[in-house]
Amino acid sequence: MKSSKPLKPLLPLLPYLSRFPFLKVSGRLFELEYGSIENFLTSQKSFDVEARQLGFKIVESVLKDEKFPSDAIKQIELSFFCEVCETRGCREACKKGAMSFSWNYMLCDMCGECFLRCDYSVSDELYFRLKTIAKLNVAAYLYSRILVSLMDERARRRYAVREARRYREIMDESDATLMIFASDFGLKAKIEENVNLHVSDYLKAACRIRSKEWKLVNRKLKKGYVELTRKDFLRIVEELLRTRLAERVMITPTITPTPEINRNLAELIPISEARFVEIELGEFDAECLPPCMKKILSDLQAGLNVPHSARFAITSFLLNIGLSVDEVISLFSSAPDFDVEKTRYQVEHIAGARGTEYTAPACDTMLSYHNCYRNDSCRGINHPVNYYRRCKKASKTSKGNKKR
Amino acid sequence: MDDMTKLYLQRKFSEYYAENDLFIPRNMEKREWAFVAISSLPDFVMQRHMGFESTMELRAQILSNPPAHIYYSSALYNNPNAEKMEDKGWIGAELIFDIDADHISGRGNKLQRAKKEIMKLYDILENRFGVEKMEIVFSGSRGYHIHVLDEGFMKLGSAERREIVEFLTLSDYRITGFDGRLEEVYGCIAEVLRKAVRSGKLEELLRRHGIGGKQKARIIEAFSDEGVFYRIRNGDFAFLGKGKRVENFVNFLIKACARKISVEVDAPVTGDIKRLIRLPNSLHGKTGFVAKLLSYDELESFDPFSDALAFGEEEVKVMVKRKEKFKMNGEVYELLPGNAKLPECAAIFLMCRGAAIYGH
Repeated sequence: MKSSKPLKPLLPLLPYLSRFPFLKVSGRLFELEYGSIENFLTSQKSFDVEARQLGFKIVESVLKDEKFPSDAIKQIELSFFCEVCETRGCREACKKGAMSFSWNYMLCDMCGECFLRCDYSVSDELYFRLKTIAKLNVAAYLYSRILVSLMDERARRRYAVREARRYREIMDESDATLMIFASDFGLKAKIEENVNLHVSDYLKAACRIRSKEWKLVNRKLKKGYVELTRKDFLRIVEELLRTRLAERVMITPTITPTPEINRNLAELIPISEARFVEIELGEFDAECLPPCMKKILSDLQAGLNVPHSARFAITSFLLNIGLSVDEVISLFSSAPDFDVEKTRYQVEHIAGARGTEYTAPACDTMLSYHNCYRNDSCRGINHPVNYYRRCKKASKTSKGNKKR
Repeated sequence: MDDMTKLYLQRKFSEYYAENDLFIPRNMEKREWAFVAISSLPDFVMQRHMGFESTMELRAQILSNPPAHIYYSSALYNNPNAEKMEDKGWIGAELIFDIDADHISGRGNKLQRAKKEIMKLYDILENRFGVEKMEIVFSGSRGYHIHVLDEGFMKLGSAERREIVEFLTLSDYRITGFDGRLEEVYGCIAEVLRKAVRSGKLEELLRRHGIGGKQKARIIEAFSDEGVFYRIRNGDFAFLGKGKRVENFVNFLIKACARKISVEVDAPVTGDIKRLIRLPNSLHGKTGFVAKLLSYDELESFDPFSDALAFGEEEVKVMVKRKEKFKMNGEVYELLPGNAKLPECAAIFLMCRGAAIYGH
């Protein structure tokens, strides 16, 4: 296929990539510019060194809980060239029919194939400037992801929360931005004055947001779509982005950490660990059990018929707060129907002896299985383990006071 | 259950499966299958983690060892016959709802009420959730199921499904926003009060909640203005005045209406993304009824005791073990312990429930 005009690969997306380097299509730019991750990681060009330093700083600011200076990242005004383009050299590239008359974001999955063929005419100078800034931000983003991918889950989770929020703050509510996000995250969304988002997409994000206004029961739901303000839609995007950022980058196992990465990690890991000093749960304190667990434990010890879901809850809970398998078994041993062998097998299973280590169910789950016995002492608690932790912390400080 | 009864049931169940086409769920080869053999009864021994490539294979299994219960997974797996759940490779699962007559609160004919609940559920799924493909299935015993087949819901996790349950049951204490179902609750309250006004029962309703004197007069006066219903629809009850009694009255209305628009689905069933569900049109081993696939229109008049029968009128000798009373196919049975000759359908019903044994 011959093209009469010089190509400007990815041109329309460059402003967006510079601001939102987490878009999947950033991989296309990276491939175009570097060919492989190794090339980027080992490059000594000052541009690439700068990009890596920027990536390091992003992670550092997250772990130190510092606000990342917004001027540290160069920004381009967002504008979507496709909205004014008439040439459409890209059209044939799309097999999904998303690029026929105008860009149909509902059919597009942001594979980037068409954007590679962009022949919209802008000056080489402008194109180069846009590309340079986008490239810097994409490379820095990728480097930051590689660093946190090599760290533990807590660091990754923290990075995801903080960075998703930072990106959320620089999102605009224009049609183009919303459409790009809808395509990139594969969301079934009708973008009009408000956004109508398919309930399954809505739920994926909203069920992880705690506050009650996000409960489906409090939302306008019609014919499978939840009506959202643009602002709310971006909050949904933030949540999905958080999930994306918390994942390990796929390529991690094949990357051999460069000396620079090792140096960076040596600096970052101590910062991360200092932040997450475990609250020492110490001695088991039955007084601190949440009402649900107290009830299950006393029912068990009284020999009442306790449902499977409740048995699982108490066992995983006790293990989660640090009891050993033997300690858990001895707590159950006063039950009239106690069977050592059976109990041991089940407790060990939940403790992870057979592969999966289980986490105690959260309050929501306890509620749906009718195992929740909440009272006023549960205020502000969403997980039984947090109840216990809060109580232990409080009792520790009050004991300390008594001594004084 | 004695061996003669088991042999008889095996023969009859086998006949049923030989004469009737099996219901085959889509992607049958990606599902886990499970059976409880009649031979294992009265113990409930489930043989599970089975996979079948074709209808023929499945049919051969069923005919060779006629099961009392046949289940398949609502989930699709890459390796349905892997022994460990984590090795199965979960792909997605249909959204399942269970309404069990025994879990329905309140009074009245519970099986009838379960039908009402399932119709309410069907309407909400269609109108609110935009569901296009669903199956209604009689459980074969005391309830009804809805399977949502739409692709869009297959990937939902457990937490997401529990949100849907909360939407239906209104069980959560966090219902607040005006946008969601509270709007429906207020709409319902407006209707309830409008009816009370029309039928002249408002005064009595207020009195029952301890509201009297000037306050009662003021409230009745307020209802002479049509605009009051608009306010109620918007959740504005300020016109009722203040006080503990008014507060209790409003709470009573909210609770009553929430109950009216809620659907009592069984939460753990919907939340479980790896659930085994009974195969539609298969036999339920505790009743001998067909777990019949139903259309919405059939539901209204559906009576399992005449519409879910798999067996006919041929007479069978049985020994009834306990007092039983039921109506089947228009016939009322009042049985006392002892020998009896009963039509197959009634005999099998009793044998499955352990209330009779074969022969005498």
